Amino acid sequence: MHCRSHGLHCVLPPIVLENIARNGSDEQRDWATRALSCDHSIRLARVQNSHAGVAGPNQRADALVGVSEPHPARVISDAQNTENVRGPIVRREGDPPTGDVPTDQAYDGLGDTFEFWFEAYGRHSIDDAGMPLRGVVHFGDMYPNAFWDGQRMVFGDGDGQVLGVMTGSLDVIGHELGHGVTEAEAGLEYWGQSGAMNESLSDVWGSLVKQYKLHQDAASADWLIGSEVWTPAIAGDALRSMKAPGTAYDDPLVGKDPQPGHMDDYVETIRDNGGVHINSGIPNRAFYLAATEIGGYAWEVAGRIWYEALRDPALRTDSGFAAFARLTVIAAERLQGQGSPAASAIKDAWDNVGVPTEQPALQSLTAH
Amino acid sequence: MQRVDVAALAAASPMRGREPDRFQYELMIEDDDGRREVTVSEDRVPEELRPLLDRVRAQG
Repeated sequence: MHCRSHGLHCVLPPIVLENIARNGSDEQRDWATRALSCDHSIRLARVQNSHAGVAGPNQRADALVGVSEPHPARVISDAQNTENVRGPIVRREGDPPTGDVPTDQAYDGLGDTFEFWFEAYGRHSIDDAGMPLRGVVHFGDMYPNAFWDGQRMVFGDGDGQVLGVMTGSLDVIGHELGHGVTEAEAGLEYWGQSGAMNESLSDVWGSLVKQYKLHQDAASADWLIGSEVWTPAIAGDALRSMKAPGTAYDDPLVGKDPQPGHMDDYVETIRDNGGVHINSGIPNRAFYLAATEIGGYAWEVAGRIWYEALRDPALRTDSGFAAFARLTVIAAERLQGQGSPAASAIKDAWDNVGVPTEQPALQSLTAH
Repeated sequence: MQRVDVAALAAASPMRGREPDRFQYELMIEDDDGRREVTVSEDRVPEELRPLLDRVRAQG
């Protein structure tokens, strides 16, 4: 029998794969984990097929008829307050809770994110090819941040004075894994306007993961990113507000939320990779306006349109706001129809934040 | 700092990172040759700068 996803013949018994997944190198653990995921699906298909009477005398019992849904292949490692992202594995897919809060929150958050992508858009993990979801907890010494390093999501514990542990924020987890999706689809360069678009897309995905988990429609969502992250000592609601950029926090220690919500207030800077976390407020607000104008669950129409725009081959690594905006209108017209309420809502949303959606006559659609 | 080629670091600045959402460090270095600014992403820190950054981070 041939395990299609990675060419591994599934003649190996699961216990061998499990041992490799536990003890092997990164590469070995990767393919073993994928094999276990594939193997699990095939075994479930066998059970389903046998129950349904599909496997007749002339049919293979392992035919993938009615194959079960993919499930995440989660692996959580503990950096033990060092910066080693390849520390001991503390929880694998299917393992029971460990009792360590960051470990278990990371495990759950990765699972919720996987579920969102698969159930909302049919996307099988970050790379749409069953990529294992790796998380690293207890990174660094009171490290007040979380990031995606291209292969894994890394969480610090926070310093306890300004920022708490990030694993408790589902939209932060969705945001960071969203960088992986953007990387896989468009590779938007992390600088200037393309970088701000990269950041905004991660905020969109993070917010949608949370809304999906909480069954919230666009009208009832809070549109905040990282509302669980500040400690009580900080005067702030969240790290960012998609609804009202610039209002998320205002504190003597950490300063005021610098995000603009309109191109008139675009910040030209070399800091923050050209202001990627600052100017992302502009496309963030565009998405909020579009989603709330369209109504219903934001992932169903607005989110789908944003996703299709991200996957459009015309989106370049250096594409800026206007290029992306144009692609959302194209996607809206394709999915919802020209002149549809959704297409109009999206054009209005971008217009309200000062981003043009019309094709410029002679200029290229790149960041200015 | 005596081991650091400040001029080379300043010339290479800003040293942009490859990983999203990493911290960026902005260093203002003042020595006999003047004042220079070095911006470096957390995932691009040269080895010769690590002791300085570790000390700064430890001080909070």
